[in-house]
Amino acid sequence: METIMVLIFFGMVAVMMAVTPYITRKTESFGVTIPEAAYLDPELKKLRKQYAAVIIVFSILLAAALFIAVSTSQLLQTGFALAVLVDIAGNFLIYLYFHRKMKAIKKTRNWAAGKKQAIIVDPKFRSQKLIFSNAWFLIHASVTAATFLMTWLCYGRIPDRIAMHYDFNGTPTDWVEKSYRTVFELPTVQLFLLILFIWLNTMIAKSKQQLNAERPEASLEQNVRFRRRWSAFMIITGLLMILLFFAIQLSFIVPIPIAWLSYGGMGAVLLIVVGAVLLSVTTGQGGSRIRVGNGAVQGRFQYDDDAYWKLGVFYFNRNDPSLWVEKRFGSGWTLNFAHPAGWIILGLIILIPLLLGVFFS
Amino acid sequence: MLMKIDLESDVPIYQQLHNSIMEGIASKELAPGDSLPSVRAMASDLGVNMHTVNKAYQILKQEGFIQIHRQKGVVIQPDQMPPADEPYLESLTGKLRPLISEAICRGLDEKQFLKICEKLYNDIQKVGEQWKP
Repeated sequence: METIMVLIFFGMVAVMMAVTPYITRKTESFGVTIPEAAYLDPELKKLRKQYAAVIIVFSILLAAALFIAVSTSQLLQTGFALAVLVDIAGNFLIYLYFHRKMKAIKKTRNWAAGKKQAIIVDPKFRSQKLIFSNAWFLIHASVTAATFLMTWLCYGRIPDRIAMHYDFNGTPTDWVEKSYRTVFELPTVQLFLLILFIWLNTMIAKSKQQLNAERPEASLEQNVRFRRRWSAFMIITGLLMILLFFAIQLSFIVPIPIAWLSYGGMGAVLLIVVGAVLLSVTTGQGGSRIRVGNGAVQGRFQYDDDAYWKLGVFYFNRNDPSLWVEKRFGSGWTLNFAHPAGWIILGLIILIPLLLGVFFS
Repeated sequence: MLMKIDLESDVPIYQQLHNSIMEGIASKELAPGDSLPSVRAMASDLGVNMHTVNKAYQILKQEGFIQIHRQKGVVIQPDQMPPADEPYLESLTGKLRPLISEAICRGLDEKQFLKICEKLYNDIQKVGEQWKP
């Protein structure tokens, strides 16, 4: 059962990586700015196919290696952690190879000739409804508050030893002694998640406005819908996770079959991952796969900001006060690493879970 | 309304931004009382330094085309737009003079020059016309 879950996980990651060049904006190819028309260039089409094939082959080999390692040595936890690291490094190196290749292709072509670059902005962009209101998080907040309240009121009913981990047969493998500190661990994590998701939703609205200079009107419409869809996804994902923690906490007080919890948990995670993949594929980066009217076509070329994209994926632009910008290779947003707040946020995102872990252990 | 900024142009970015906003007001795409993005948001969307945007906003404010409030943010002048008064006419004449001189030097006759002026005057008032490349 665990092996199947792990294989599903690697399969999903492989699919997500393989489709990446197909869901980016059509003005980008492997982290390199291109004119929209060049996206259909046979050489670029071939590059995308090759990339997808290499990723799939690599993932199958990795999954097979993991499978063999686990069945001979039984070290699923270590093997899995190692495989994740190898997967991340491997995928990045494969990307990097294609990024270099794409850069070389760009050099041989004369795409920019005779075309003027421009940045297009709509000054009224931010007066539109870009995200679903943070008021939706009142539902999440109520569930979190209910978890805190329930834990406080029913403290006496919680058994003296709380099972923290189970194996797949439903046998507890890890116990902690009951105390006010340990019983409030999950509600605290819920609170952290609540704040995190409200902040992410706000950032979706605040992230940089990026219009395709070749078709600004269509791109504007796509961009608004792109933000709204991911905002809805954040609200739903947040609710699923907070509800899951509520259910686990409830199981300390009233008996809930472990199978329900573990299947519910796996179901929720699978739903979130599949949802993210489907949303990425149907929406595309910046909404580039959403069908809208074509709008007026401009004789302008997308502004070439390749110089600010280190290795094609790390944005580093001191002049740009934006904190969040659209990823170039993938779906979603990435930080401007030249922005000091970017590093602080990155630090906090790593530090807070670590501190929570230390405090509650 | 869509504004276009050319980063490779000889015209400074603050000047382009100033001109774009002014044209938005002239074409009525930016109506009196409409809000503009904050300095930070505008700079973020353009990917330029905040000083650049601030400079454009400050000039527009001095000229009386926008207002910058602490709470309401940046809004297009909701009351009286600055009039075409004596100092303005003087500055306009000053700016036109070298342009006309160059046109004469290049052999552009008065009729052609005025025709261009007339076309631009009408185009700007027609919404969206500035989008012709």
